[in-house]
Amino acid sequence: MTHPSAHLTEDERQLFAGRELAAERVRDVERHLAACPDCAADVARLERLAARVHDAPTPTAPLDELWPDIRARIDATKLAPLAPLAPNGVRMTHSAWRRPGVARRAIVAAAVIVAIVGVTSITRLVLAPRMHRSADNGMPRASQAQTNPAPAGTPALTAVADSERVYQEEAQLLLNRLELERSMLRPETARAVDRDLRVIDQAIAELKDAVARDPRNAALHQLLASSYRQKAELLKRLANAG
Amino acid sequence: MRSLIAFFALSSGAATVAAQSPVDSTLPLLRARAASPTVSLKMWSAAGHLRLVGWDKDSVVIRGRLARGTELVLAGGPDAMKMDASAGTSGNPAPSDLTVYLPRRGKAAVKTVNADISASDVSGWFYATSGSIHLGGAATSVEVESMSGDIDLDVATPWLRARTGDGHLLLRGAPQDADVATIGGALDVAARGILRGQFGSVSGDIRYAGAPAAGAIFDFSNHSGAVELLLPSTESAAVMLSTIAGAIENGFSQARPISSTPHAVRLTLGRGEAQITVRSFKGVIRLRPQ
Repeated sequence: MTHPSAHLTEDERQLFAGRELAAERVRDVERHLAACPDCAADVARLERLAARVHDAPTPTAPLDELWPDIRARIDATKLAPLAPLAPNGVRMTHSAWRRPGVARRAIVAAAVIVAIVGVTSITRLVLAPRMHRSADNGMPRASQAQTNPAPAGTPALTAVADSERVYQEEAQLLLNRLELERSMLRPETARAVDRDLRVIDQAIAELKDAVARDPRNAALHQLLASSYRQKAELLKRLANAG
Repeated sequence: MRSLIAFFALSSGAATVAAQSPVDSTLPLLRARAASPTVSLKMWSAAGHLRLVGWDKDSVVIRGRLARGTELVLAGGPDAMKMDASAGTSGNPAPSDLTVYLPRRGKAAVKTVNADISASDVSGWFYATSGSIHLGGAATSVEVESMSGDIDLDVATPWLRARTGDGHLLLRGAPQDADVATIGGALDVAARGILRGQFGSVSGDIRYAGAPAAGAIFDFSNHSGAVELLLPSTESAAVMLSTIAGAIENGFSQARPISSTPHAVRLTLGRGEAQITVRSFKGVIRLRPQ
């Protein structure tokens, strides 16, 4: 508060509402609040907020028991699935690792996985070049590249399908708003937007057609999600053009 | 290949233009205000040219020439100001030519209709409906959006995001994290030092010429436009190219692909320290050594 007519600073309001303002400043601030309804209203709001925080009950349940509810709320809006829960429905935390037997079982499991991966890798290294080399030119034959289908329900495919759906819904909401905002656009802007929308919609139509024929192709889903994202971003940019 | 040569010529020419960013202190002084070093400055100018210059002084100064019948409003305090260079006009405003000096650590939010924006050493958000946008110098973060205007970015910044429709988007300078996309416009990238790069278009051609650093992750996505990558012959990168219905032209004949089909190629250049992924629906993908 450098000038009597200026408003209180954010710090002054926060400190006053929290009863933490230096004693020698309190009188000045009280005088200002008596004369300034804006600052008084803001300080009152901060005091109410501080009281609510202070009065809020401290959670009595251990954090591990709160997690399933939190997880369910996150799951409801997630784009990609969270890591699977432990058998008791609780995420593996540091404390879970410290429980008797858990660490030992984990080490045994890790050793088994390492052994399997090791054997598999060695087998591939030894056998793969022989199995995959084509007879005509000696080059490796086509392997499972990105354009090949991913198994249905795999996390990767679920994630891109979820992203695609979210962007599609967002684009539809923005399209509805565009109809309302169209009248505020300059004609040349409206023409440019229509042209861009046509380009994106044509791409989306081609991709949807391809997805219908090859629904397990993760690359197609990624391209489709990308096109929906482009559409949603275009419509968001448009909101600034009115 | 001819298009890439033209692209390089264009890039070097544009860099010269950027270096000659016009700062004319003889222009009439319109407004001057004390400002905090981190001032937020919101600016609106419909037509003409708006230049922004980041400087080391604790003030905002506006010079230039206003269109006839236009009023300039600069409101707010040292921490946050708002400039309107089209006040008092209606319909199609006449062009104004303004230069705004603001503290280098400040943040700008600039919006124009068909005014061209050029800025040097300024961070923030820049939007033009159809005007061109040209940014240079250094910035803490840059977000650039246009419906159909050209965008030319030659900025050193940790974070950069740019979008345009059918305008041409040229990215140079040294952004660390870059996310740039067009719809139908060409996208040319010749920036150095990118660690995370996301480059997309729907039908515009994407051309990249540079040397991805070790650990860099680049992702190119296009629907029907071409994607051309021009990499040094000594590049160290794991490259994954895939197209659904397009063609792949691999000019790195000395590197044997790990896998190869007419629509997907995986290969490791050098020690494979960077990661480059290209996805296309029906556009051609070209990979060439420099």
